Formats: sequence, C-alpha cells, structure tokens
Amino acid sequence: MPNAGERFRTSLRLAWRQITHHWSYPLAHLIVLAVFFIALRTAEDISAKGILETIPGDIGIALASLAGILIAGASASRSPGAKFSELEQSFPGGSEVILGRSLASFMASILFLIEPLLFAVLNGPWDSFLSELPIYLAEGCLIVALPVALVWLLAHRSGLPTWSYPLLGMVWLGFFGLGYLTPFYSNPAFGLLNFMRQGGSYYSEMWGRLLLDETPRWADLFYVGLGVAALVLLWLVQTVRRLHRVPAATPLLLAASLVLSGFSAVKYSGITSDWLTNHTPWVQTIDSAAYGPRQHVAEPYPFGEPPAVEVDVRNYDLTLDFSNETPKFHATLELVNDQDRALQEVVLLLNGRLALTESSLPCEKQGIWLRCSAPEPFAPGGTLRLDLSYEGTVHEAGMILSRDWQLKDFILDEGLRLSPQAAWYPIPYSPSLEDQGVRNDIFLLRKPAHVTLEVIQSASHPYPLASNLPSIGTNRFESQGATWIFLIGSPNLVEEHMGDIRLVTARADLQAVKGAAERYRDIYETYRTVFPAVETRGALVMALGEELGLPEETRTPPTLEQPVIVSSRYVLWSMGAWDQSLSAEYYLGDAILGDLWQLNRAAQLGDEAWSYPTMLWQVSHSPVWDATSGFLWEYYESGGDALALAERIDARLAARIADRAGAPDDSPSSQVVNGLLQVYQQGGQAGLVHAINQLSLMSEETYNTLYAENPEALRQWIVEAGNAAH
Amino acid sequence: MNIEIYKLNKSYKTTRALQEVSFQIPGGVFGLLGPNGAGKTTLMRILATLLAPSSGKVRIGEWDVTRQPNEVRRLLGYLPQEFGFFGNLTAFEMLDYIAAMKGVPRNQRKTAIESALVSVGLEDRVRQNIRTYSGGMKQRLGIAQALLGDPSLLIVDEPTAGLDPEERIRFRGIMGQLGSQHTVLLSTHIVADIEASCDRVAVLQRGRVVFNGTPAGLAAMAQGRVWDVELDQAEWTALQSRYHLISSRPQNGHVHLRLVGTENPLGRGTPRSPGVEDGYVALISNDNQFVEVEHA
Repeated sequence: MPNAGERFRTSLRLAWRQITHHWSYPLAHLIVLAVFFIALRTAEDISAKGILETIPGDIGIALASLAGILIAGASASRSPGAKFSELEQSFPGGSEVILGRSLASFMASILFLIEPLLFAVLNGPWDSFLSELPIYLAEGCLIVALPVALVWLLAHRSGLPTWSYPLLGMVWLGFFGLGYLTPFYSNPAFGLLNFMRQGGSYYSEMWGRLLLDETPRWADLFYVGLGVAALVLLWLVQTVRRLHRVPAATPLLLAASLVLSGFSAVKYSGITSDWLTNHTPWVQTIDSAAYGPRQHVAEPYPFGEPPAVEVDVRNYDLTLDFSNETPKFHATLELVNDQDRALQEVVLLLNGRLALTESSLPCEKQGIWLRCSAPEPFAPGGTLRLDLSYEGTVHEAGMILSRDWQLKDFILDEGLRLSPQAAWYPIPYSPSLEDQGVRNDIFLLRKPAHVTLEVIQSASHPYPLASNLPSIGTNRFESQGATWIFLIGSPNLVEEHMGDIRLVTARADLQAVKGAAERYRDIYETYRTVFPAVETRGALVMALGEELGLPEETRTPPTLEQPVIVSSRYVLWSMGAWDQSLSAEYYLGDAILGDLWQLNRAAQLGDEAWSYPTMLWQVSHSPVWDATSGFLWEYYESGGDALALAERIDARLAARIADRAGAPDDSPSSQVVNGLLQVYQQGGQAGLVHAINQLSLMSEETYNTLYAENPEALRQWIVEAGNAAH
Repeated sequence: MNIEIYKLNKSYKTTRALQEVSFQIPGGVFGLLGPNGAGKTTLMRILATLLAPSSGKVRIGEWDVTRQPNEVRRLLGYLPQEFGFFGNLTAFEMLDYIAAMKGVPRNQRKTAIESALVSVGLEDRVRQNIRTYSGGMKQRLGIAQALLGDPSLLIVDEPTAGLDPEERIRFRGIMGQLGSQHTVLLSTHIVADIEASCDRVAVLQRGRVVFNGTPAGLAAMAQGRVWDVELDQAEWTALQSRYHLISSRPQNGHVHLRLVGTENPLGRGTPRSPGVEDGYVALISNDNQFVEVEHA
C-alpha cells in the first residue's frame, strides 16, 4: 500500500478544506460563540474548571457532537451530491480515503470545543484551566467521535439523503430527552445515552465534580466500544465493496469492540442500580429546582421493616479517625426514653456500609438498623449510655437532574462531606415522622443534643475541616444543642471571619460570596435586635456548591449557638453582584428570621420548640411568620426610619392589591404587617420586640382557631401585644 | 492491452442485464454499440471494477477484475456516463486530488496534470472554478482526469451524449488521438461516434453480443438493403411496417427517404451502399434471430 498514506493525507486535506472553507462553518462557530456569550456573560466568577466541568462544558460537547453529525452528513454526501462517487470508486485504494474524510469531519467537529475552552481561559485561572483541559478534551473527543463514525457508516452503507442528517441530529438530541421519560427515567442505563458528557454531576470549587464511582470510566469505554465498532464496520463495508473480500481482522475487532461496549454498559448500569437497590434506602435528589419527588424511600425496604421504637439522644461524643485506610468512628450516646413504657431495646439508624466493631451493650446491626438490647428494662424518662465503635467508608450517592447520579457523602483523600442523610452517626429513627411524609427530617434529631466532635486526620492528606457546629479547637467542634451534624473538609476550604459572621466556602469562591456574606451580616445584626432573648455566638454562612439548604433542600436549622445558612454559591454570587432585593429577602432574610424565630421559641419553650411538625409550620408554613419576614425586610431596608418604613409597607401592600386586580387585601398577612407597623409607629423598637416575640410563640392551633378567619382580630391582638410593652 | 470477456452474466433482481457475453478486445479504440438498456453501462461498470458480475470472467491484461480489482484500477482511466466534480475547486485542484488518488507521485503531478489538460484543450482554464465550465468543458475535464496516471485502458461511457455538434466533433478528435496510445473502450448509442473513432465494434442487444467486428463489417450487415426513395405520405404509411427508416426529408409535397429493407420499395428505390448506421439498424431490427457474429 505504498500510496495509501498519500491518499489518506490528500483526502483528509481536501475534506478539511471543503468543510472549513464553507461559509456555514464559521457561521456555526459564531452561533456557538453567541450561545456561550449569552449563557456565560454573567458567570465571570466561575473558574475555568467550573465552566468545563458543568453545564457550559457539557453543552460545548453536545454542540460539538451535533455539529459532528451535520458535518459528517454533509461531508459523506458530498461525493454523491457532486456525482463524483462513481468516478472515485474507479480509483485504486482501500479504506484510507473514507478514513481520511471521516477524520476531517471529526477534527472540524472537535474545533467546536474551542468556544467553551475560550470562555474557560478568559475566566481563568490558568492552573484551573490546565488541570481540566486534558480530561475535557479526552471526553469530548470520545463522545464526538461516536456520532461522526455512525453517520459515516450510515451514509456509506445506505447512502442516506442529505435531508436526513439534520433529522439524525434531532434523533441524537432526542436521546437526551429520552432519559426524562417514563419508563427510561428509572433505568440508570439510559444515562449512557446522554449525548453531552457522561457522569452527570454538579460542580463545586470545593470538591470539583463528584462523579459516581467508576461510572465515567465505564461510560467512556462504552463510547469507545461503539465508536470502534462503527469504524470497523465502515472499514468492513468499504473493503467488501471495493475489494470484494472481508478483512481478516474485522470480525474479531468488531466482536471485541461490541463486547467492550456491552460490558461497559452493564457495569455502568450495574453501579447505579446497585446504589438504587442495595446501598441507599433513601434515594435522595439534590436538584436545585426539584420538579419531581424530592426523595423517596426505596420500596420495599431493602433492610427489613423499620422499627417501631423511638428514643432521643441527649448527648453525642463523636470521634472520627480517618488517619487509617479504613475510617474508624467512635460514638458515645446518652439515650433518653421519652416513651411512656419501658424499652427492652433501642433501635438506631446507622449507615449500611459502616460495620460495628465494638459496643458497650449487646448490639446487632442489620443493614441500616442498629438494635441494642438494654441490660435491664429502660424505664420511661430514664437515660442509657451507649458506646459504639464502627468502621467503614461513607460513600452515598444522590440523584440529580432527575436522571444522573453523583456522589453526595464521602470520605476521600481529596476531601470529605458527611451530611446527616448519610447516617454517619447513630440517629434515633422516628417512624411517626415518616408517616407524615417528612422524610428529610428523619435524619434530624427531634430535640437538640449536646454534641462534641473530634476528627483525627490522615497525616498524608491533611486539609481544613468545617462543621455546622461551632469550632472549639483544631478539628474539634462542640454545640450545646444541635439537631444535625454536618462535617466537610477539603484542601480548597477556607474560613473567613467577618465580624460575627463565619463564612465557610471554597477558596475560589471567597471573593464572590463575600459581598453576600456582608449583606447577611447586616441583615442578621438588624434582625437580632428584635430577638433580645436569643443569645448567639455569631452566625455561620456556608456557600459550598449547589446546596440551597441542609439537611433539607431549602432550610437549615440552627444550632443553639448560631443561626446557620447553607446556600448555593450561585445564589450568593448573584446577590453579591446584582443586589437583587427579592432574592436577598428570600434567601437571606427568610433564612435568618427562620433561625432567630426558632431560637427565640427554643429560649422560651425549651425542647417543645423543636418538635415536629410544629417547628415546620412555625418557620415555613405559618402566615404569621411569613408576614413578619416581609415586615422585617422592609424594616431592614428602611434602616428603622418609621416614615420610610411606612412608605415601603404601603408600597408593598399596594403591590399586593394590584396583584389581586384591585380587590382589597384583608388577608392575615396584610393584617400582621399593618399591625406591626402600627406597633412600631406607636411603641417603637420595644413594642416591636414584644409583639414579634408574642407572634413567635403563637401556636398553629391558636392561629387557626382565632385568627385564620378573622384577620382583623389578629391585627388588634398584635397592637395590644405591642402596647403591653409599655 | 488485451481484454478478455468470457461467458459474462449479470443479473439484477428481475432482469438479466448481461447474458453469456464473450468477446475480446485486442487494443486500439473499441466501440460498444447498442440501444438504450442493451447492457452497455453494466458491462462498462464491470470492466471498471464498480460492479461484480454474477458469473463469468473478465481479464484485463493479466488481472482478473473480480479478484484483483485494485490492480485493474491502476491500469484504468474511467469516464462514467454521468459524473461531476467538486464545483468549488479549480480544474488544477480537482485533477491534483485525482492524481493523488491514482497514486501519481507528488513530484510528477503538475506535469501529468498539464499534459492531460493539453490533451483535452483546457490548458487555458486550469485556474478556473469548475462550476463555471460548460457541459463540453466538463466532459473534456472528465477525459483529462481519466488520462491521469497514464492508464493502459480508457473506459469511456456515452461521452458525447448531450454535447453540441462542435464539442462532439472535438471529442471524436480527442478519442482518435488517444486510440494511438491507449486501449480505449468507447460505449455509445450514437453510431457516428463509432464510425469516426473505432477500429472495432461490438453490438449489444438485450444483454447479448449480436455483433463483433469492424465498423465496415457492421456496415456490410445492410449490404443490398439500403434504398433512397421519394414517396408521398400515403405510400409511406402503407410501407413503413416493412422498412426501417434511416432518414427522411420533405421535398415538393413528398418525403425523400433512406430505408433499410429486403425489397426495393414500390420498385422505385435507388440502391445505396450501406454505412455503419445502416448496418447497425439492419442488425438490431432483426428482432427474432441473432446474426452470426464475425469473430476477431
């Protein structure tokens, strides 16, 4: 084949020129550039790696593969279209011409990755860009190569008409949508047909992409197998047609590539199915905008029926030692029987991957259930001390975007993230909560417990740690009362003290979220003046990744020492950059008031304030709370000036009336706002404090019985409560 | 370049395009004549290695077209009946690409292209985009590409179809020149092309070879059966089922006709010496019997 190389080069060169010199090619690049400009014009704070590892990067690959289909289609039909194919079939040679042309299609398609790379470079920094570049290019090439090879094969085998290539592009795009349809929705293998990039995952500057185990590798190999199979078939078809023989190597190569592809698909879907059926009884979605069920419990329960025994934990002393290969945990619990009967055993929830190694009581672990026998009947109101040692890694996945799976809780060399949903510490299980459909909250303690947490790190991989608990020393945390325990660590983690505010975020996000944290501090300092009964030691803001709240999706309970906000870094950025009042009111004002409201109730009502579903109603469903939040926001915005406040309240209520097409607004919300304004105008700050305190203590029953149907009475009650301050 | 075709058959789903076709082409310009659908293009495509025969053998030189298609392609210059080029390229760029495909060494390509373009009289249009070429120029460019790589055998399928008279005459001239250096297989249904260019000719009809010989031999098939006669319209209407019309020309209320038939029309015909076209018409009009083929 002395001339094969020259034919390959020449056909590659000509096809390349014909593709890239056509007017439509630079136009397509301009369109893609415009798409990225529109999508990323406000995302100057995303790092290069962030751009390439998240949706912009994925869209770049998607557009490149779509371009690949159209380019390959146009290129493959160029000879037949020009009536040149019969002529060129009479030239000597084998498959080298087809390979040269298909390679030109591939190269021209891959150049559509320039746009996302360009935006990534512009956003910088260089080290972030360079660290991601090889991975992005490799994965992009793999994915784009497949449709290009498939189109060449189809065109060469069947001579598809030109109009069919846009249709093929739509079919390719359709595979992406297919994953959202029932029954594909529940079949993890369909994630493979994501034409963009395998292994869906949110991105954070803290941990990068949290891809699920080996799924990206198997997905890549799936694409490699299919791509090679398409190329081998192309070679086979061409050789049979040109030389009237079957190349000896093709059957073996074809079989091997299909086996590779099939095996990879099985492994890929096996990993995700395994998560679904064996490891995570709670399939957790962590969508920012969850359209489907936020989470559901796998049915039937993979680890047996849930227990009907409820206990409380008064005290946790937790030690986490991940200096060894296998993380080791030690927990000392002080359990309280708040049932009205003596208990023979206690049942706790503990991650299914963690194996019990030692316990002070006879305990048995079955899946996620830890059953420990009491040495003697555990009397009502009595306490029981339980020492547990357990080990294993925490490795939990969550479903995102309703189809992809990503790692959610983990202990890795490059960082850790342990949320309550991972049940990495023994949690008293509360079936009554689940009966009420409050499934996220089964991971919350029903009453705040005193918690100490000590972390022993690996000497070879030390990195900063942070928790929702106040820090009391290096890798040591303590709270006098917390209903959940959250621990994170990453080499990229930074902690910034801004007055009373402790900001925890990734180094790359620090400057961007600082503005919002300052805003948070201002709001917090204003709001806390209304809750003098609440004694806090500052407040905590966490901007980690996509989380809009923890452990729930939109709300983060405080500890006794501090309000806690966990919010998406994107939300905080946008508030820092654009000062969007509505967003700030919703994400900051509501969150701060929720925590202060709760702590105010706790300061006066004790444990009762934490009981479900009362707490849930108080800080998210109550019209009283909601209206107070609106009032306090205007109070904050007006700087406490009574006149300005009245104007802002009037404008707010007028807007509501306008929304109701001019109908008078005599809802409980407007009565609360009017009542609070009247109190402030008459009694100043002292009246306001008193009235809001009384409002925060109002029970759901009182509200429903007395005021839900009689909003005017509610306003009068608020005014009287305010006047009582004098 | 000797071409041997032996018991060649080609069947499509419901059609037998070629049936037991056997003949030999010793060299020079060989014409392949036949009506539309006779199987000429099928035979050409088999010779050009684009189509595999159903059975039979074809050898071009020492190579079997089925078993050694690439070796045959190296000997071949092919001009299909319908073809085109990439319109956005110049003639030079297009020919440079084809020369590379044909294995012409890089350092010889420019000379080969210029020589081919001179052969077809396109040397002045070398830098012009092909999309600006007329039909005749494209046809000549087609010949030029066939000449690249100095092929031993040129296969040219219906090259003059659709050309104006001037281009057709020019094309015949080119064919004549090429025949002195290459074996040329020229397929056509235009008898004048054969008459002007070919040393030998074979006639295909319904997939079979019904004649193989010289153009003069083909003309002789009509010996003693060609008549000139002047008839009125009614007389011609009465006679036309027994004669094959070669030409007709209106004259003074009558028609002046050239006819092929066994009998003198109405006894008023003047016998004429036959041409190739007369022989061809006489041959293919003899539907029910095959004329004995004059073998080479």
